[in-house]
Amino acid sequence: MLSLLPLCSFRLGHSDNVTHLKPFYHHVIAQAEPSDICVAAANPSHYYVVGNKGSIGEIDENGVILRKTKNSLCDYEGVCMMGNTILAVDESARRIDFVNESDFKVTRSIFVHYGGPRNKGFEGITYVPSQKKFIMVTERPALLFELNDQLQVTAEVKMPQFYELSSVTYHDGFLYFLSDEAHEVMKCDLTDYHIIQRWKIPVTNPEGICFDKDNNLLIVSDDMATLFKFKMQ
Amino acid sequence: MKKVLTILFSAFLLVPAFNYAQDGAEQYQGGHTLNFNGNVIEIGGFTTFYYQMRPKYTGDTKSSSNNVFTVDDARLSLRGWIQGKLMFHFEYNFAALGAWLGVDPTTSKPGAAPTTSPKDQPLTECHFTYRTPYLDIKVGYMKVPYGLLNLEDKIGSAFLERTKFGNGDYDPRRDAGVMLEKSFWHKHIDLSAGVYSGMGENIIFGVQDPSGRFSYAGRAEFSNVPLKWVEWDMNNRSQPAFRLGLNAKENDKTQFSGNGSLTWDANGENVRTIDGEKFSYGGDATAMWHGFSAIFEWTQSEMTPHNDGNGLEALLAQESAVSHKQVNHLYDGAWYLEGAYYSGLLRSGVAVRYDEYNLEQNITIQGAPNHQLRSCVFAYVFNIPKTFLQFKFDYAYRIPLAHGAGPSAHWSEDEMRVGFQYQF
Repeated sequence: MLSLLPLCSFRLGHSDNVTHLKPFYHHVIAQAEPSDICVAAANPSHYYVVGNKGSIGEIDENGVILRKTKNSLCDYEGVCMMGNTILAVDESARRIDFVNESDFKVTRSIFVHYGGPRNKGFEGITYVPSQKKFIMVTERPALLFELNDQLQVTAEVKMPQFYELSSVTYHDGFLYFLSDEAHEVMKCDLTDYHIIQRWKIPVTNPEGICFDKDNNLLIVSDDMATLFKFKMQ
Repeated sequence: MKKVLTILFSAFLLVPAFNYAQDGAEQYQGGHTLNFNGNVIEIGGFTTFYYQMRPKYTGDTKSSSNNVFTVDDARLSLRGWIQGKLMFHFEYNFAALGAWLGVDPTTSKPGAAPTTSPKDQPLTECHFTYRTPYLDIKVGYMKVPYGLLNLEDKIGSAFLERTKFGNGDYDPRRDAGVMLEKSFWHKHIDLSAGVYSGMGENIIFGVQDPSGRFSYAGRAEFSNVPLKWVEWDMNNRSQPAFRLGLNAKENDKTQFSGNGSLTWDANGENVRTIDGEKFSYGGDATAMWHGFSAIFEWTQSEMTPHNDGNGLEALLAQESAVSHKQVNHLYDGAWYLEGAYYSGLLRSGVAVRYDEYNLEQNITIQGAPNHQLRSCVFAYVFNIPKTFLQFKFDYAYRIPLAHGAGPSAHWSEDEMRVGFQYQF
């Protein structure tokens, strides 16, 4: 059994072609259980962070909280921008809330059906402007959902290349997937989702991913409630 | 045969260990979620089916074979979330219903004769939780926050069978009451405390304690990653994870004879609920890394019998006479050590477990005096997407300890079980 350990390590995502990153900055976010992050449309130096206690917050580039809502006790796990509207995904309810960027008020909601266990719903969402479509992912099994700009599901794609997913973001023509348990960021092609490059990040329970205007990788950790910044290599 | 099994068991001991629940990398969490305008209902459940081989032992008076096919679980679970603020959970084990009632379908007029094992009653969860921004308030019939194995779901265990430590034989697992729960420091610290009837599973029979006294129980957990006992999906972490738990429980009951008696063990006082005050405390430690895990859990009880001429009081007098000093309390304890390894690549896990019980004389766990129990299991998880089907081979045998050994030194539950669990 012990001789199988190297195989098990491979199963967990340990591979020679993975680049190991080290954060050059980190800061604790004063928000309960942050689970995803996206760049604010109104100010590209600011970011919106959602927490799985149901709060939405705005942080500056240093991770300092500028404003946030009270915990609504819903289960936000994903966030992205569509124009000037924040889209926050409630994993348990399979609901997408349209949130006003200026006052964080929920203006409307829609439901996207997904069966399975309650806490194995949608973990991440991002918008691909060039194709006018949304991408949503589930944790395990790792599934990718393509949605049109009316948030109607147009395709469900199995992602066997991933053991588990915790978030997704679109940046510079590529999709970047985040795996909580493998502690990896994976850059993927936008058409067939094959993996182009992988990075290992030394972060406990990474749940949110986005990029800043300087192309730095931003990761939020749920367990540590911390913002990490990495320079991509 | 016994030598072969002992060698097999020893070989398993060489394999570093785990808690299958934490480590089941391929484990699919069952349930199907339905959404009704923001209110969510999750329908799920699981079944356990196995073939059991129990060899005859010297002095076994049972004429029939102990080798049978059995359905141990047929559980239906309904969980609901109302606007995220109110949660409910209802779970019923249909397989336990007939056994619990003691219905004999072969008689012309089958009647219900309640089993002597209240832990087997089929209602397993019936409670709701009101979530506030500050703490959660749980009300109903629930698992008492005492002991890690007590709180762990059966489907999350590698073993087909719980030990007496955690199956309700040693201590009641469930009770009716109110529990408060609060997490701190991003769930690294979790505190639970509740007030209960103290009657354990007997409360479902409607059996009350004449004294009307409550039971109090509490648990504190600390972990380097959020490993709250209700969230077992923290699988195969690449960083080392550990957790420490501490429990305490106080239960002061008055047993009485006649209709509704709590004394359901004819061989003597049962350790579950005594006629007197029982103060229990214990702790557990869990470590996990890359599929390897280990658990140690222990519990200890201090018992102070009431002065009403029951069996425990006589035992107290006996111990006082032997020690030539006044003995006011009786003590018992138990502990277990479990280790496991799970390979996600092979979709297989092995686990070993050792549990030991140190009870006062004449106090039994459902008829079993002091003993050690060794068990091991091999489990394989089938590769069927969105499904959790696993095959298990489970072997357990008991070694009686000198104290308390006697006519019942042989245990009727040395057994091998080969079976399946399916979660939907």
